[in-house]
Amino acid sequence: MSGKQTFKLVLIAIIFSLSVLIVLPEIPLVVDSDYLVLNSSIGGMQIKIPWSKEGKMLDLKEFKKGSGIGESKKISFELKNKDLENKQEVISGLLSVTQKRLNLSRISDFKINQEGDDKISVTVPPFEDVNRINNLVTGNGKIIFRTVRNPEDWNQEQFQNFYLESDRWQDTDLNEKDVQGFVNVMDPTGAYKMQIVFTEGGRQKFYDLAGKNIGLPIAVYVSNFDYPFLMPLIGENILDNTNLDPAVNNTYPQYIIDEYNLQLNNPLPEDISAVETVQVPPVMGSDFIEKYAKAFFISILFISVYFILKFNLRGLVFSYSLLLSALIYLAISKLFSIPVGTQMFLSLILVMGIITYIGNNVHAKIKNGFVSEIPFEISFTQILVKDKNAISYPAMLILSLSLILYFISSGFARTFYFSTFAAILVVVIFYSFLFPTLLWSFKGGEKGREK
Amino acid sequence: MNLFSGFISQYLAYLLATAMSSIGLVFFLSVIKKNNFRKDSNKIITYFLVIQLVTVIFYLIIKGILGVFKIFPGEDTDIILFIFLNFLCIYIEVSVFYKLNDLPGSSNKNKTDVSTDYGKEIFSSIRDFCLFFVLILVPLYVFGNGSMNNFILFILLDILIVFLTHTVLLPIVLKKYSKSSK
Repeated sequence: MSGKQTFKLVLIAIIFSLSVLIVLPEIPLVVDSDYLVLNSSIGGMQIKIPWSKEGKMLDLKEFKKGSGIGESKKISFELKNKDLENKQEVISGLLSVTQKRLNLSRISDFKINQEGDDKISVTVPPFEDVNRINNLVTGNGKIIFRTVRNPEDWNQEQFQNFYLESDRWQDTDLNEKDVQGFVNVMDPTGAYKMQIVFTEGGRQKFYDLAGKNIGLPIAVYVSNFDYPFLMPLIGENILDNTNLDPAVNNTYPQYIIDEYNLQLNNPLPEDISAVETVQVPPVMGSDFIEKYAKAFFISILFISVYFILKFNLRGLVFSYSLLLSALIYLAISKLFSIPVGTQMFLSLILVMGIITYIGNNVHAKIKNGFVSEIPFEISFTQILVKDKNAISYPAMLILSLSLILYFISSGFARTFYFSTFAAILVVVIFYSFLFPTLLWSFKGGEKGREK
Repeated sequence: MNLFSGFISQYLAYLLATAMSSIGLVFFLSVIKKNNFRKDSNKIITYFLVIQLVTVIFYLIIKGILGVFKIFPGEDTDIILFIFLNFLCIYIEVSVFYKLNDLPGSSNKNKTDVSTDYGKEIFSSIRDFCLFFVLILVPLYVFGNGSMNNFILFILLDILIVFLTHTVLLPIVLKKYSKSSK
């Protein structure tokens, strides 16, 4: 065996070991006997990400559980005004707006339902942040600009008091109707600023207001929050260029700005508030992962038996490649937090089906080659080197499509596209590296027998 | 207008999957086609698109019939079953196209060979492709905890539809292809 081939086999062994370590949950290894005392564990690693400034950990203790597999969270929201006459119409509008907001915010696997005549509920997988969902759903998209009620009270030392006390402010007529959104921009010095994009009339109103409040702050309250979203101090040069939208120093991350824009562009028909959050037991059963892991393993065994019966020992090479591919897929899923659920389930079926089909085609052609007394080396080169495109083209198209669709879709389908992308990536690894390497390495014993 | 936009927003994911699969298929096949196949490829690609459309319509009809009997795959899982169906179609069609594309020359004799010999090969190839999926799904149905059984049956339905449309329609396409320049 050549050095290159040995290196490839060692690489496969390393990939196998790493995949097992990633996929395994933490399993304690405790032995306390006369000959050996062991108190350790295997799997369920936590790896510190070296380039992360906040010391983030890659937690591989368990798979991320999708809705229905783990305990989901159900958040209920109710109308603030319960005396509305057109409640059903308002609730329908609320369902539609909430659906749109959560879709655009890339919240995965959520479900929205009507609960009674004045309530809606949002059910999300356990890994989604409840506070974020609350803000996304209840933010009414309203904006109000306020000016200082008593200008003589203002000085820089009072900044915190003005920030915290809303009764120090008075409303103006500048509101969400005058604003198109917030955008992050970079000024000529390279600093990030948040620009408030006004409508044509809104910009004029703002500069009129700013002109009367030079040296004073103006507060921008959004979504009926108790504290201002922005509280810029109006400088003397504010009126230098009134054709441009004003920009303020930005301390908010991009996702906060995106979420406010989302609320502004998709306003609620009526104000709602969060009522309660309850845990929902897994509808797929608490033994879902255990049972289906066994079932998939039995599927692999069935396929292995078929291949061994049809292609003798070379079938075993395929079985190992299939097992390893399934392991790599699971390891990738855990590393990239693909939630365990129907999407991952179907992707795993797809990866196993395609790999089995490829394996069967390759073995059948090699077997036919043997019957026609074509040496293994020639068949191998013809099928897996010269004619490799026959295997790779269909996979490459699905790989590209799933990636493109992942970026332009949302919700339940989006997770499926990502898991399919990971699955087809494993198919590519299978036909371009794992299977050819193993097949080439174990060709000797079979060659004589088949002849 | 409201009705139209309501329809679009409700079925956007389905339209996106169908449109992107079709565009992707046409683009990809146009890129990989060889010069000697250039003349026939457009016709073959059109046939493939028709087969894909027929598959989707067939799927929607069967799903509608099952819906009458209150058999549903689940409100969310429906879309991924639809995407799966599209991906299966694409996989088979690209494989078939590659084979046709790779045939030496495009003489009438070759084309006739394609319709007879390769027709059989396509049938056994699609049969194997679908049977392997069934081989995987049966243990999942039997040894799982039962919560995915309905979903597994719908995956089987996807596979059955792809099998039927492609084993019935692809040979017809090949016959048309072989007659195209006679």
